[in-house]
Amino acid sequence: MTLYNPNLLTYFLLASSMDLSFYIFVSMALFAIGIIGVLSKRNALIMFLSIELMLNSVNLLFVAFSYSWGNSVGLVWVFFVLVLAAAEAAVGLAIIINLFRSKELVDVDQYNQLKG
Amino acid sequence: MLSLLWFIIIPFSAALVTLVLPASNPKTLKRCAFLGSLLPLLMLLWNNTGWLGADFSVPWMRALSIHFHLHLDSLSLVFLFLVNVIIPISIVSERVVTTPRFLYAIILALQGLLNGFFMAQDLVIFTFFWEAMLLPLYFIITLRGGKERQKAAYTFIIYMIAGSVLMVAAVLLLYFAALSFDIPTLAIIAEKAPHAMLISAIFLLAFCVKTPLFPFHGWLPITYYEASTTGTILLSAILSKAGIYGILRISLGLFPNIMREWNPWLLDLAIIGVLYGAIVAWAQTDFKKLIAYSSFSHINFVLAGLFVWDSTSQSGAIIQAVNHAVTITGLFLLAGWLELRLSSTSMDAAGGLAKYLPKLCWITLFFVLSAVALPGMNNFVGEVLILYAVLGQSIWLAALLGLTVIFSVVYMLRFMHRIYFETPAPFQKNWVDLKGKEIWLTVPLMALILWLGVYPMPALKQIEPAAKKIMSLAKMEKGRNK
Amino acid sequence: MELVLWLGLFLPLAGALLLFVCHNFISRRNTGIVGCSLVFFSFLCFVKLLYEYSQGIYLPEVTLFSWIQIKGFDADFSLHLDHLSLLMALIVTGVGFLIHLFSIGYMDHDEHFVRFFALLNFFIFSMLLLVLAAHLLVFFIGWEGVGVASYLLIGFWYERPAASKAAKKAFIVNRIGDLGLLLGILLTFHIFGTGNIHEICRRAPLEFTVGAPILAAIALLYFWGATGKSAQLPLQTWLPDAMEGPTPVSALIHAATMVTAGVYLVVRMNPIYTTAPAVLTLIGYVGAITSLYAAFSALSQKDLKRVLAFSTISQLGLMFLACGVGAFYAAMFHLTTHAFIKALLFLSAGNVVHMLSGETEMDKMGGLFQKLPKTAFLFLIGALALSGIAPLAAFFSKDLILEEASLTGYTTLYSVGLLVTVLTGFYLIRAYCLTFTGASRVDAKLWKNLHDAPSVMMIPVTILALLTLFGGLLGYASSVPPLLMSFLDKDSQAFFIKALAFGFHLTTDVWFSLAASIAGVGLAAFIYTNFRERLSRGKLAEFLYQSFYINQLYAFLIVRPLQFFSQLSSKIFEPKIFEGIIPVCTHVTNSTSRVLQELQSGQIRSYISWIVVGSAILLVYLVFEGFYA
Repeated sequence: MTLYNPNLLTYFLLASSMDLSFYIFVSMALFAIGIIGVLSKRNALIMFLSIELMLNSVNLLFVAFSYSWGNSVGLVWVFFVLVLAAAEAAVGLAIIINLFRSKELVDVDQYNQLKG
Repeated sequence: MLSLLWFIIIPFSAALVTLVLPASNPKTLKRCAFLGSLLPLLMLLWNNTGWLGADFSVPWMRALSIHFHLHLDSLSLVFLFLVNVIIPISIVSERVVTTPRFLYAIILALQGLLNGFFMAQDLVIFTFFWEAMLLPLYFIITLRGGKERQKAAYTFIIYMIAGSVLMVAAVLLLYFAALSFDIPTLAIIAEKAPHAMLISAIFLLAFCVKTPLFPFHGWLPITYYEASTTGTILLSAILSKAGIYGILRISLGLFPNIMREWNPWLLDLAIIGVLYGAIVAWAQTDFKKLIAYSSFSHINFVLAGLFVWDSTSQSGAIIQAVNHAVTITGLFLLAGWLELRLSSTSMDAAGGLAKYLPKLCWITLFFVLSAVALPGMNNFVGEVLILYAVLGQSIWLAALLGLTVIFSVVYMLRFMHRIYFETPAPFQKNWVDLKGKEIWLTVPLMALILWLGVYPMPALKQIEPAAKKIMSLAKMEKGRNK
Repeated sequence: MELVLWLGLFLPLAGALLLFVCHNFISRRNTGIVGCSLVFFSFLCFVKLLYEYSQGIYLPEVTLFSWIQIKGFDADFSLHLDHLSLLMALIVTGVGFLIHLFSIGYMDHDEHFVRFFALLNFFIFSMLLLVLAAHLLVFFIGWEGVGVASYLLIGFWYERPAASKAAKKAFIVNRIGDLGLLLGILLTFHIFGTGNIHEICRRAPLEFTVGAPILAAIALLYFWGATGKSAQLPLQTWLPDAMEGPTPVSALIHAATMVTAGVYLVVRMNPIYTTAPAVLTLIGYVGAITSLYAAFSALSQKDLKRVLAFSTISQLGLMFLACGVGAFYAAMFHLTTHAFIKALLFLSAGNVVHMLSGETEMDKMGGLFQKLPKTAFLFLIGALALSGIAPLAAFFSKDLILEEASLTGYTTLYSVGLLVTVLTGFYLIRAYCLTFTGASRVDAKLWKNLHDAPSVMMIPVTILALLTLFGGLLGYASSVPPLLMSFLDKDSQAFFIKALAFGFHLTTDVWFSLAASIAGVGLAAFIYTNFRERLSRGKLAEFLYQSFYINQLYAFLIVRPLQFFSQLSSKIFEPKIFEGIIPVCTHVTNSTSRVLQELQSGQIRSYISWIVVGSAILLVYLVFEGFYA
């Protein structure tokens, strides 16, 4: 292994400070995982979890940028997102519970009556 | 207090009154509706040519410079007379017992809309009335008529709207070019607008679908056939004239030079339409469809007159439009009464009915002779003017167009002879001859036919200046002055 | 004096309207009185005008009102009475009156008595309008008016399918001719700028050179109209079938007056025709061929009235032949004599038919001389006259035509005319023999009660017979200019080009024509009184009976293709193409929407994936395009 061919791990290990790009990568990874979760999971609760994951990945991004810019604009946004996520979780879970009451299922594929 | 707005308000208020009148006797409703529809005609007759030049303009949406602008010139006067004569007749022709009050109201609303249409001088108002006309007709077709009337009404509405779908776009294009919706103002600069050809084509398509010109008549057979007598009268006598008026006012008024270029093709289409309509009418086994195709053939004759660049021809076309309306109203009325007695519109239903229904037979023959343009009757005047003008273009076209003289007789006599002449069928109880009231309904039409045929000068005196004005709008090209 | 003219024209119309209005409650007697007297008064009006004209007092052109007056198109309702129209008016009203009288007796059992007289009066009015018109369009009103009257009268007994069909055919064939006439009239408007007949006739030779094609076109179009109305080839098929109408109708319309309208047109517009000599020659030949065709067809007819119908076509052909050689006077003279003689023939035939309760087939007649002697005698006079036996009327007129033809060098036409004379004599006497001589084939019950017709029917026929006997003197006299010639000569137009000098001149032509007539008559008399029972129906006879199968030819060549195209249009073009476009649009819209419906699957995950895909594309686009916009 020469210094001119560092792999990713080496890069991370040799980094002197936490570069912004790390946070972007992590955030993107989390976002992608979240999307794949939403798209591929049939269980409504898991889909919700994935959506929360996506929201949190964005939170991470905001915090990182806020630190990078050095102001607190991003942090304000984080609060908004957190509040929204909480509200949405509350409402969404309530909807899921109601749905469960009608069909005894949390499988979203079975809830396709709105097709047209 | 005589203002043009009354022509719109009176029918609409009559419609409202008819809707809310707490009368249990259906005859009262009919009388109320009839009186309401008669008032505009009385207003017209009261002042007659004094109405010429009347104007009514109220700013509506200032920001877009849209004015509610009504104006009565000689062209509008002719069509206004026509509308206000035919609609009372169509109201009276409704059978009292089964007609809901809504139908009377909707016919009156149609009258109001038509009155507005023929007076509109602002493109937005014009388009509004143009599209709005379809709504009452949709209800008229669906409320009473044949078995497939829903399908017919859908076909009708969708075809019409498809034809005029781009009209709003065309209007807006003109507005962006001229920053005004006013028709007289637009007349000056319409042809210089960008996309003038496209705009002209869009307008022309809308009018040709309504009239209908030859290839765009797909909606005609089913709609005329399935509608009730009233509906068919309103469709054939008035709606087609709205299309013709549109061509005169907009296509020839705003885009005369473009129309002049397109005239040869349009004339060919119209002539094909005349002959095609006649040929198809001959093959019909159903007399209502036969008369529908006859109407189609004759309206294409009128269009042929419109598409010749000559003021004699335009005058002939306008008066022929009026003549056609009068004749076709009579024919459909009589066909409706015949259908009542035969319970079917097939020509094989019975034969030799002249023995039992002589009055119906001879009055039908009178209208048939009018339709085949017997000299001395109204259609001859327009026909001879149009043929004269087409002859000026090309003798072969005139010969082709003149074939309608022969073909119209062929299919009309086929109808007459199948139903009324030849071996009588055994008598049936409901074959009652025309009663006094029914005959009185045809009397004004017959009087009009004879008057317009023998002494058309009063009408022609009004029409000729209108036609001349349209001709004068076009720029004269070098050396060509027709 | 103007008033007399208007009265003469409008009295029959008033009669028609009166009878129409009162038809439910007027008695037969009154109907007859009203109908006949109004025509008689009209006749008297024209007699008065004749008197005035013979004194030299002429009427100018009279206008009632302005009909259509717009730029480029100028039509007034105006009448003009010159000698030609006065002659025609006198014929129309005179013969018309006699036929009205006859009809009182003929139609007395008919339930639609009033309608008949109303229609007859209307016909007289239309015909008068035609002959008196000063403007081509007014002429056309009368032209079409007589066509309608003819339609309504042929189909008078509308419950009979044969009569209805014949009426329809007559109207349609007439209309085919009318189209040509209308186009000719409109072309005249374009060329001359006016429709006034006098103007046109005055200007035609001045403004155009002889043989100008445009004038030839106009002349040809007029002749096409004349062909339709006067039943010449190729539009002659309607006249034999028109015999389904009542006999007075056949006499008045299809013998004496309406069918002569074509000849009247050609004679009236003769300045145009003389400026288009090619067309005139064509007219001559068409007339000759038609004449021959009709004469041959008449040889083999079984129906008495059809023989007379073909005879009419044949004689009209002779009149056109006369016009063709430029002998317009001869044509008018023959028109006049033919009117009397044909009316005589038809009315005597009508007597026979009426007495036989409607039987017209000669197979069921025979030997009627014993029971109907007066009728037989009158019919014989008519038959001999029309065959051209001197000194009965038609000898002079027909002889004049033939002489003019040979004088002007048209030897083919002359020979055709001679042959026609032979044939005319033959078929007329054949008809006489089959009807009146020989053994009777009449139904026994009818035979017993047969007697001559009542006087109301005999008197008009007798009057016509008298006219036939002495009418020739009107047009041909031995020493002074005959009445008719000097009468018509007063027209300001150059009325006849080759006027034959009056006076007895027994040229070979005259002898030939007389010999031809006698030959035809004699041959027929010989054959049909002796060999009648042994005549068989051969192929040739059938061919002539079907009048050369022209009807079938037209049905095959014209009617069938049109019907085919009509059926094609209504069964295929209409539903599949023009109406079919609507279901196609609906279908397209429906299938598109069905495809797009797949997107609305109700599956949340599919929606989400579309959102993701869409936003990814948008993002990529913005990244790569938006930044550099």
